[in-house]
Amino acid sequence: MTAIRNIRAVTAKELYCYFASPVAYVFFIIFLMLMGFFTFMWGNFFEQGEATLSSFFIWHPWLYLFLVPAMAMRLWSEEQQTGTIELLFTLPIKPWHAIAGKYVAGSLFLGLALVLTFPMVISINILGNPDNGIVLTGYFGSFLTAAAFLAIGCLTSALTRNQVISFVIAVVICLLAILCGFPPVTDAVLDLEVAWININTLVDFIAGFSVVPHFQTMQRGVVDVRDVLYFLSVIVFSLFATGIVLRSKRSI
Amino acid sequence: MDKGSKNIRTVVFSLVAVLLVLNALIWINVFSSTLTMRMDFTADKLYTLSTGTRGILTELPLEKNEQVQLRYYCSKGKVEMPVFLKSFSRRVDDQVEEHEQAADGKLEVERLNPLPTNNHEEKAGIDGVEGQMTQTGEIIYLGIAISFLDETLALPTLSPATENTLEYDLARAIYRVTHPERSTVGIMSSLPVMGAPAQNPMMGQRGTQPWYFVSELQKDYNVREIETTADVIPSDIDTLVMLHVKDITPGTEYAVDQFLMGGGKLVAFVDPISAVDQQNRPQQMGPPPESMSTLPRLFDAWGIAFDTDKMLMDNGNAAMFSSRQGMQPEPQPFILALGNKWMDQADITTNSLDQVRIAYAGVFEGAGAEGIERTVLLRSSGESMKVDKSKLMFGNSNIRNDYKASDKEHALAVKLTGRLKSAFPQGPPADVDTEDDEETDEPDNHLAEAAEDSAIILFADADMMFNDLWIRPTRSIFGQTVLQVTADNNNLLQNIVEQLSGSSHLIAIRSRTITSRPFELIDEKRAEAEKERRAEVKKYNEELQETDKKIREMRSAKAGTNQQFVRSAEEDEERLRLNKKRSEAVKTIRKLEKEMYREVDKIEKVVTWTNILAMPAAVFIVGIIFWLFKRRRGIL
Repeated sequence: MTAIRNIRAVTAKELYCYFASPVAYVFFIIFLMLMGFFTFMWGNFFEQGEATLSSFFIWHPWLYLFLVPAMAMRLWSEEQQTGTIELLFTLPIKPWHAIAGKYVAGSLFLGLALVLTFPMVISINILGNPDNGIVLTGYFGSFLTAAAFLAIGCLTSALTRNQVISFVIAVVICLLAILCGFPPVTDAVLDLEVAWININTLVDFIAGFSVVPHFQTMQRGVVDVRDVLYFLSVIVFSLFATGIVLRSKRSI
Repeated sequence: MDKGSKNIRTVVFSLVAVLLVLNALIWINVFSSTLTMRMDFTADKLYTLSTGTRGILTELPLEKNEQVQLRYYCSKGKVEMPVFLKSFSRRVDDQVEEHEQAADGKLEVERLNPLPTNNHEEKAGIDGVEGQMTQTGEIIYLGIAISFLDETLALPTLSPATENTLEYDLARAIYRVTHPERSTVGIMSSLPVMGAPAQNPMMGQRGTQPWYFVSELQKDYNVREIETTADVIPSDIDTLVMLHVKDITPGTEYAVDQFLMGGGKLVAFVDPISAVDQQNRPQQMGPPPESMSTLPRLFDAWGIAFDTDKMLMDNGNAAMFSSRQGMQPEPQPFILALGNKWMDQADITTNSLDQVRIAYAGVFEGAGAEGIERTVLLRSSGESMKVDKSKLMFGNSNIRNDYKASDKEHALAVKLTGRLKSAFPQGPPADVDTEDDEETDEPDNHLAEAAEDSAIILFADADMMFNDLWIRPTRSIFGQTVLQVTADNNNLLQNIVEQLSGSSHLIAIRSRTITSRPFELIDEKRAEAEKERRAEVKKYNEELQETDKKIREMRSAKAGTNQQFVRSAEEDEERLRLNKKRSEAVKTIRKLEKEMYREVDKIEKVVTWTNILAMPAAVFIVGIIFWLFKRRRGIL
């Protein structure tokens, strides 16, 4: 019980920090404007003529690619740079309480940003007769994608006290996570001609690391256990690694 | 222990821990790939097998240890599939997997990836699965072969175009290989559909061929002719096709009724007026006798009304024909060419057809009796009305003048499904001939209700199965006569007979329409605006044509004469005037067209900018308020 209370305390403090500074508002405004802009300007929303949000969701991984690491970079780097991390860990809470608390705050923040795109749902419901089940699973998938990227950002932020480096590394990892299911990447692997391993299995294996196919099944209206498990794995691994990194750094 | 070695130990320990967790998670994901637990949130349950398919898969008539083999050929990896096929192949993957799960071990699935380096290409060839050439010249495979004992059926190439029937195609193939025996189709008709042998071959007379649809049915089924006065339908008939049975007696209707109660399936073509039959009569004086057919007692019991005095006229679907040789083709409002739009999109038998032709049809009314579900398979456009068929004698133009659009779509073909009750609750009608059975008072064989759900398909036209309406004999370059099929009438019947003669589970599988969900509001507004201004645009268009014509005339009047390059002042003036008029007309049309789309444009702009700006603005305002609030509190 103390664990939950501690996590909740950290979460509340973090959320307060977001909204006390202009960070939250600037992030929300940029996020929502970009979402709308991409959907309507480059998404061929009206040209498609279909009451779906596919031209909206298709941009999500790409927007998260930059916005989520930008939000996550300060999670631990800042604490390390200003030294407040020592203070944090002298508090009577376990390190993983702090990690989980910060992470929950971050995902709640992203979830709120996503919720604020609700005019999009209202729009398609006014214009036509969409399948709201598909819209719902689309949002679910989008949230999981954001949450996975946030966990990755959390890890890179723990690795370095320099926020810029954290940001760049996080972007690169997320980019890989988007790209490794893409044909250009898989083709490159297929050309490798490795004798001792079945190349097709390897490609399938690598493509399995990509965020996009897992998100795509949800955009079709299907929630598959495998996809949810994938996102949870990414999150659990990243947070675990964050804990290990912070621990080893402190003991050095 | 010194500090350095402790550091190294921590780092190594951390690395090992991270790698272990990573490893564990990857294995969890690899193993979970065999899991198929998924929730389908789509409104139409697009990714869930229908109960019909489940029924077929669970009721496979297999001995112990027997399995139906499904070989799924799908190119993967080295050979790159085009993008549109790739995402579709994922859908096929899912379907195959769903079937495998639902069959609970009765279906053995083998997934093959034909490559030049393995022998799967050969296997595909034997199974009849065909490779497709991609734009880059590679051969890719996406097909399925299903086999059981000696029977093999292939779906040689799957394509996204058939995505909506994919489930049906698979289930049908599985059903067919496990039920290889041919079913029997009975044909009952007052028309000479079965053809006739030559009456006097010595004199050089030739017999007549059976109608095309009959010879096509003979390829897949045992076809038997049934007398139009039959008192009983033989029990080995699975599906009965009734084509224009004239003057049907209660006795025959009773036979059909009992046939249905016993689980038989029926396709009936009834007609207020059969043009084919009237043409076939020997020439005689006076108007040809009337030729109509209906099933009065059965229709009553099924809750269907069919008026043999009324014909349907449909200006929206009128076929273009010239009524006499050498005349200009003109729309024939009684001969209809129904496009796919007017067919049931959810039904397997109709949704893939392009066009069905119908001549002098009637109309079905009535919603179906209680317990019977009625689906309209073919319907007319809204620009149609019912016409007294006696008016036909006075010619088309006369009727055309009476035309009032009813704005109602009329049913031309309906499908009735459900548990049927006998139309003869009192037992056989009184006038049934009972030559072979003296004790008629005891209707001990009478069935009052069908044992299982049945299906009946009714068409309001019989001429539609006549060859000439949709077959054109053409001469090939080698001099043979080739029959060119120009409409889908025969395909429609073949589809229906195939569906009916299979299991009732097959009938239950509906087509998975990938329903389009258009922006209704925008489409509506656009149509409205167009309707409002169409007349005006037409007026200006006509004006434009007129001016163009005048300009051309002026030019051609002078062409060829020696005045060709000389112009008088009046001519110049006239030409100038016409050109000015022309450009004005063009301008007005442009303006009107722009106006048409203005409203739609407005909606699109409003939606776009509220979505982009409204929420950010709201967030901005909230932020400012918070900031002000905090500042004041800070000062206080």
